[in-house]
Amino acid sequence: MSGTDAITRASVTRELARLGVIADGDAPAPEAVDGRPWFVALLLGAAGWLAGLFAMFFVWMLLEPDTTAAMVVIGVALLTGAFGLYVIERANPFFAQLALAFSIAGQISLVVAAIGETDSAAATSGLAALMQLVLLYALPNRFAKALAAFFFCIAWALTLRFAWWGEPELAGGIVVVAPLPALVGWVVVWAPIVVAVEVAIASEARWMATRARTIVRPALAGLLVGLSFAPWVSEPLATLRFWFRDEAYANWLAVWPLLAAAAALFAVVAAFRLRERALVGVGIVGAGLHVLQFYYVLGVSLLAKSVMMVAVGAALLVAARLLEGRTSLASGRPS
Amino acid sequence: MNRTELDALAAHHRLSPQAVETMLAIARARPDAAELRRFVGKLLRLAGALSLAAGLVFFVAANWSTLAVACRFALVEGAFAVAIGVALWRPPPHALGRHALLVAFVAAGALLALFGQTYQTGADVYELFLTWTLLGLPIVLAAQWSVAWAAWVLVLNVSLLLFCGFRPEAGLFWLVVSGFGLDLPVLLVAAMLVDVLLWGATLVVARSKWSHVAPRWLRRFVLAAAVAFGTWAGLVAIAESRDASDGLVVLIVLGALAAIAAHTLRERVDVFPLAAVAGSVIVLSSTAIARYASLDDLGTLFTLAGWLIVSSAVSGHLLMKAVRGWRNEEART
Repeated sequence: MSGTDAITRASVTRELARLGVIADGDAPAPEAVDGRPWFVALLLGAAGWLAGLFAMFFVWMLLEPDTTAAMVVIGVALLTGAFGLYVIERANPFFAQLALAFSIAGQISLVVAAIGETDSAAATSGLAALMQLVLLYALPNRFAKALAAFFFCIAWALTLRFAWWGEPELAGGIVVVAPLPALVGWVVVWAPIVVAVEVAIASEARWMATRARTIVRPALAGLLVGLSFAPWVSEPLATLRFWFRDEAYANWLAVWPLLAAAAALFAVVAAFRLRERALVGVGIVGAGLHVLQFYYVLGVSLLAKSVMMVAVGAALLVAARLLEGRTSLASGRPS
Repeated sequence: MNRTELDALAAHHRLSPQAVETMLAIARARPDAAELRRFVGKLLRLAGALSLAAGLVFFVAANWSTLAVACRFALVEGAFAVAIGVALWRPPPHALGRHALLVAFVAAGALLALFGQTYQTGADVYELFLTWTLLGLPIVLAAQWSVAWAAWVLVLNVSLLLFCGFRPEAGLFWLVVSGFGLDLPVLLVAAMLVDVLLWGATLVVARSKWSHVAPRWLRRFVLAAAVAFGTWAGLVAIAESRDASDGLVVLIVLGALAAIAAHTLRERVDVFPLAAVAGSVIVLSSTAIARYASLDDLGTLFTLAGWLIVSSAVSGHLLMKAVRGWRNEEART
């Protein structure tokens, strides 16, 4: 992005030494071990996830836990194993993958235990959100922390969604939500995450200077991925109901994907401010998927959706034009 | 320098917040106000153009009965004509012309959909997307823009998915190929080969004076589609494994993956194709284990979990070695 690739660790270190920010004779910083490109992280994450599912079924079939307590013991044991593996060898990819698989298997076991104990989707989601916060703090691995932040977004959104409007049903049980509660609901769910991202970026230099960077950096990445994709899951099953053609009811939760597309665009801009190209791409893909979801979600007619899209498009183009005008004014060139 | 490296530098030298500010400024790790405004302006323009185009598609899908058929056509054709008119007024590479042609490309698809919806042509959905791909080609060529090409590649791949993946057994094109008795894996291999050829074309364009039309992200997108179709073909062929044609499909897929890997290792520029190939090989080998290992359920689950961990760890290790090695070579040159 704008020639920053040409700036190397050595040149920055030299310049810092020249300015007297660091001592000239300081040993050079070691190369960052965990600087994986997004596609390597995706490959490892997907494989680790799948391995975690197989490991989970293996453990369940082997031990046949039939009580909540047994499931909790399995979940805690697997998560403890994951923690231990991460601590023992942080740079070894085999142990890291094994730890990820243990972690996924442990997390799902604990969620299953929560379902069995509470029999409530809202409570289960709430407990899952709490668990992700604990994992974000405790797991000594950047990738695991980023995943925890992402899953926190999903669990947080589901908690409020289920607590406010009840649990989803694929057939029947149509939810009817007026425009204002739908808007307020969305803001309550996603505004705290938007604010958290904004605060983290604004105070980046402060936390980079402390050990908090080991938590905030991966959390920020996870929250940006969350803003890009997690709203998909915050209206579970709705996208799958497109074969129900009865649009006689009005459910303004149907506009959530449009708002989610806006959140994804915010994530794009935030990622650009951090010069994280991969997250810029993630946000753009997320925004596109939300528009696709907006097409399928029922509750508002396609004609109304069409009008909304045209109005949003016109507003965005006007905003772009105004911004161009300001840019031209600032640079002293005609627009 | 990326954020991970900057974090490592801050940690190593125990920098104060002021020193971190200085480091971020030296590394140009944050865009200045003008750069940010330019980026947001571009983003808003693209999002606005796509929203207008999506509004048009939604309108056609709404099938609004109150509006007469002629009015509906006039509306969509009007949008198409206005977009083409704007592109003629400010032709590409002007941004306005490019965005207008992107809207025109989407409007062409909406027009085809409206035609099929109104006159009940009996055309299958894949035919709509295939016709859209063909008729939209001149528009995309005129746009000279990677984003318009990405939209075209997407539409092409949707038509490939609908035809090769879902085997509609309907439409003119199906009549042509149905006599050959092509089953799912063979059709998916055909889709993969189309995308591999397209990937080759993007590599050629990337070395020409039109390199801006085929940036790295677009080449990756095309390659990802090719590998996805290939993996699907191989997975079905291994899982079903009914006759010799399935074996041939697996060989073709492995051959294509090997060719992609060999080309990437020779070029030593972008590691993404190797990661895609590694992902595909992991999926195919895991499917083979599940299909052919003579184990009980427990044994299969244990073996699959172990294989996924080992194969992905080895892949990750080798990929990161390539990432670091090629990056260093690039820095030296």
